[in-house]
Amino acid sequence: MASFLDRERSVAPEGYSRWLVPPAALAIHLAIGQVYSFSVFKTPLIQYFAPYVSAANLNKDIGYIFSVAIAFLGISAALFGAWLEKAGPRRAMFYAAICFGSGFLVAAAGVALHQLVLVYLGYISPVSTLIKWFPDRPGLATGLAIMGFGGGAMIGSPLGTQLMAFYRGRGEPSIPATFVTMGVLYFLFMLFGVFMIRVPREGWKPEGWSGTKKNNALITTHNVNVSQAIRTPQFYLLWIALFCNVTAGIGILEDASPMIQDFFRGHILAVAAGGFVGLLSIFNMAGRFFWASTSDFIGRKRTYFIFFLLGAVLFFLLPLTRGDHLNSVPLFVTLAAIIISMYGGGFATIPAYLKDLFGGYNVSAIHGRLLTAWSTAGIVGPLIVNGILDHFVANHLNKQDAYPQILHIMCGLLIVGAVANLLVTPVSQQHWMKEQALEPVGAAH
Amino acid sequence: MAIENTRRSSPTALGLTWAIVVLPTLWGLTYTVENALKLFRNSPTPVTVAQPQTGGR
Repeated sequence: MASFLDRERSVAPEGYSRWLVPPAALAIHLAIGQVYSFSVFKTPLIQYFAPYVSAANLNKDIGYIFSVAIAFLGISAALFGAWLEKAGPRRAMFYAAICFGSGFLVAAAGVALHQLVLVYLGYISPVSTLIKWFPDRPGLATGLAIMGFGGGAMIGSPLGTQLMAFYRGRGEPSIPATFVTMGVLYFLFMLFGVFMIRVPREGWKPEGWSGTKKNNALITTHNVNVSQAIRTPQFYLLWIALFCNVTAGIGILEDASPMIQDFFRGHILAVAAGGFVGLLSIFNMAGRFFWASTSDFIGRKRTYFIFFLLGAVLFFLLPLTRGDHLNSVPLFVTLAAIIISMYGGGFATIPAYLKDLFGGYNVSAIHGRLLTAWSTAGIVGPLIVNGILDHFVANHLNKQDAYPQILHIMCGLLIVGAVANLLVTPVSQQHWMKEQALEPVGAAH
Repeated sequence: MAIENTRRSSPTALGLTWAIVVLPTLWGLTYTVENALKLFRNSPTPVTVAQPQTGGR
């Protein structure tokens, strides 16, 4: 088994279709994207632990499960990205499958850590592999993979709900049984990805693609290794850009259900608000594919400009749609859906942006480091939203009036992101790797 | 350039491989869309007075 996991054993034979690789990536991403559907377990877990845990801390304690999982996802990407470059995608994906599957079993045994440290390797390993298979369309490749992460909640949410209902109906403890079942199912699903993943052989190129086309100054034909990349201003500018984009998106995602109920008080109830959350998840997923693919044609920098400038306008307009102004649910939903599509698009476009700037050689490791922006945004975004909302609630102010402030702060953050994006220039020659015999594509790393 | 004796991936294998990821996604998508449609079954009427309110997050 060990040798099967080696990079050498996963090199594709001649004639192997590159279109067999995206499903492998999707299998991994659709599985680990389940983390976003954790909320379906929140209420059952609160009820389950209510007799054993202090009521004052119950919500917070259960909430930590999601926070710890997300924090570990980001940290593992940063820590193990460089290792992944050496070990190859198959080994990394296999370890991710073991950790993800066993994480459910651990959770079923009553331990609070829902997912474990290596899970996030699953996120970056298929991304970098797909970039190598689609050097002609890196945006399409990363969009395909990261779209799966957005879609993971769409599968995880009904799966979790229906399994819990099934086991409850049989009179069994529904949460542990559901966790065990999901652990096994997701492990098998991820193994499919492990078996299907292939890296292109040395020197492979898509038919009819010369690899010499270069119509954008930001697209390098050189490589920058990870230790040099994090010394460049471009890395930190992209970090700021991703941070701003994600923080703004979380401003809506984190509070989507209560926000729409507060905007249209008395007209949108919890069930319909749940539908709104579902709709956002569809646009989050679709945006990943749409925007990343579009970036292949219009360029990453322009795509990010659209996110920031169009996003700022939409965030500014969003409060005007509420019940005591324009009172338009369709307009609110449309604006929010476009905003969330750009939130997803930001995630999906960033690996291709990194590949353009730093080459494909160390893109996994660089991507892993950059994803600390996501972890940071995951803390800062909710802090902004909840801090302002708590202030309004504590002072008995109209909660509806809190949203314009929140959304206009996000609007300002997007302007900061636009400036960071504007400052991105080609990486200086002093950071290039010396061995220019390296191909930015193929099984070179 | 294609080589005569190269074994190419079959269209059937491609179809089956994609089906393994597309079918669960379609199942989840159908479920999500059905829920999302509930959003548009409530059409709001103009709101007269917005009272200060706490909670509901």
